[in-house]
Amino acid sequence: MIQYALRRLLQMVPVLLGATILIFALVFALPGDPIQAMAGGQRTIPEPVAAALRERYNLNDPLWLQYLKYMGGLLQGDFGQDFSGRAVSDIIASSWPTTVRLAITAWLIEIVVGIPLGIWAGLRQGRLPDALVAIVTTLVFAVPIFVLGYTAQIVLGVNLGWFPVAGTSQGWPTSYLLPATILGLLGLATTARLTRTSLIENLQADYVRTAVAKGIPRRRIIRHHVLRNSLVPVVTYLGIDLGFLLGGAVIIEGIFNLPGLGYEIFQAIQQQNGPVVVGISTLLVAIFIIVNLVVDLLYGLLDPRTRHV
Amino acid sequence: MDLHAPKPRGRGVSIRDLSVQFRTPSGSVVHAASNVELDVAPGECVVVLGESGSGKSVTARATMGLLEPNAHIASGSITLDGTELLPPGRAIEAARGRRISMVFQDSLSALNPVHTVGAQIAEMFQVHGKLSTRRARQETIQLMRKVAIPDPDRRFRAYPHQLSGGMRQRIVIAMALALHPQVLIADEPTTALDVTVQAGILDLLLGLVREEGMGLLFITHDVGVAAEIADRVVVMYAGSVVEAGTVEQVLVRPRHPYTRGLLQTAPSVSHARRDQPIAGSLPDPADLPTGCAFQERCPVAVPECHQVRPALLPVGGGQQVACHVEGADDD
Repeated sequence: MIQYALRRLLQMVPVLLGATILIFALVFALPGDPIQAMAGGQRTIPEPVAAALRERYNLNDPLWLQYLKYMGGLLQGDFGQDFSGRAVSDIIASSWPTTVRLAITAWLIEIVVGIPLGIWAGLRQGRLPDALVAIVTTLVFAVPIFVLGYTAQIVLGVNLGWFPVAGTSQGWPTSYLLPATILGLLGLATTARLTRTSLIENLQADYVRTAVAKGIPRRRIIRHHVLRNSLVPVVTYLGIDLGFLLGGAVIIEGIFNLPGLGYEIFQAIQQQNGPVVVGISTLLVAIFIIVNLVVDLLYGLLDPRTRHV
Repeated sequence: MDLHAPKPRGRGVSIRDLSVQFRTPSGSVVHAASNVELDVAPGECVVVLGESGSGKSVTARATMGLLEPNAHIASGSITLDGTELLPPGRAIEAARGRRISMVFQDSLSALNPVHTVGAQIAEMFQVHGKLSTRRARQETIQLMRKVAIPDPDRRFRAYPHQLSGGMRQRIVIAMALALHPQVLIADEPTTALDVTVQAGILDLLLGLVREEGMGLLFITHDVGVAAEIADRVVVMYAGSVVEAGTVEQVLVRPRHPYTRGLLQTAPSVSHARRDQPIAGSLPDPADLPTGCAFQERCPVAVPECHQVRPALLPVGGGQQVACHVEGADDD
């Protein structure tokens, strides 16, 4: 088990290297001059100042040298500074908690609503509840998230006043409930469908027939035998989804004005703020990999066949 | 619940005139079992012999109340110790696991992959016997010892995928035996196992029949297995019983042309390799011919066979045959 975890952690190294190279190259290949972009569209920065700044941010070096210098800093825990002199680690530190709160809330909503919904539909295959869940989840898949976001904000926030319209002034959970629900809707629909399909599949499994032949009551068969088997693929999905959610939600954080990672990275891209984009992206890749590793290890708890001894 | 419980009593299983049909999505009706007659007395091993598609598994599942939702029991009666089990409902639900049990062919898929085998056996004692976890574990380990599972304390914690096929099948049998059922139905329990492992399982099952008076309904397509364990043999073809009798009657002096053909394909009984498969193949169960289902493959068919379906009639000595030609000349 520990050996397996270590091996997986080692596998992170090439993945991280590849991801950083790719992100680095993409960001710095963007057209335009990031130094001039700092000043906004109208004014220009005097050439001597711009030259000094280019020197300071190694912008005159070839791309590979810039990358090596950046990675050298990263290995020492230094995410570098953005073009206005803020430490990227400070930007991450200040925006990270918002994203974590939003992600965890959305994730919990997916689990607490999605799984029971899937079970409800799966146990009543082909009947009204099943059809209802199919229709609602299809709607969620079909409607773009920004439409859902703005609609919810206007109806539930502005018109009805049930939720704060935007911002984080009311703290967790009040300020996060509405954006997290919208953010989690897609995952919720996927979770419900996955649970339903997996449940139906497992209900037809041979081991269920054995349990019936053993005279085990249906309630116990479902709770004790079917559910745990059915949740194996659902847990895999939920794990990957948590990785996505922790990566920040550009659209939702934008609509609801939540200063999280997604919001920061969006602004950084607009301002061609390379160090911020690369720093946050690298962190997100690492988080995604680690979350997946944790899920893979937890997976063994559910399904002994996949245990890594 | 000790292992030296009184011998199972009761009157065993009686199946009378059982007909099961399946409705296919295309709307046609498949006659999976037609007017099946079958008895299993306590302390007796009855082997149902037939090819796949002969209706032997359907008969077993109907008895356990485990038929698929698209199955329809058109007629018949199934009694366990005098209690009617049809239509499937309360009666069979109360009997399953306690008075009648079943063992399936594929032991890997028959066991829940995420629970230990010990927990799956112990469940019988916990759910039915209301025993504590600790007591259920003790009973389970005793039971595992009884079905000859070595090192039961360690195996208790094993998961199904960690055991061999033979060991798994013993686990499944232990589960079925936990509450001393009067009748055990075994649907090809050794088909997936190699020969030496198979022999061990057959010995185990036969021991339970002889020593504890359990009735065993054993389903197989293997004439050799039937010869080894059967007291009585019931031969099925295309959903019908074509011949029934003691193992000597059916396997040594078969009357029905199908049984004779079946024996000629089985090297272990004739002691010589004579691979002469019966010409032709099973008729389409959704489109059975009028008259005898075996008519097209039968070497001795007469015109009557194409018009009237032969009834299962006694031919002396308790042997029964459904054949216009061979059933007629009583000796």
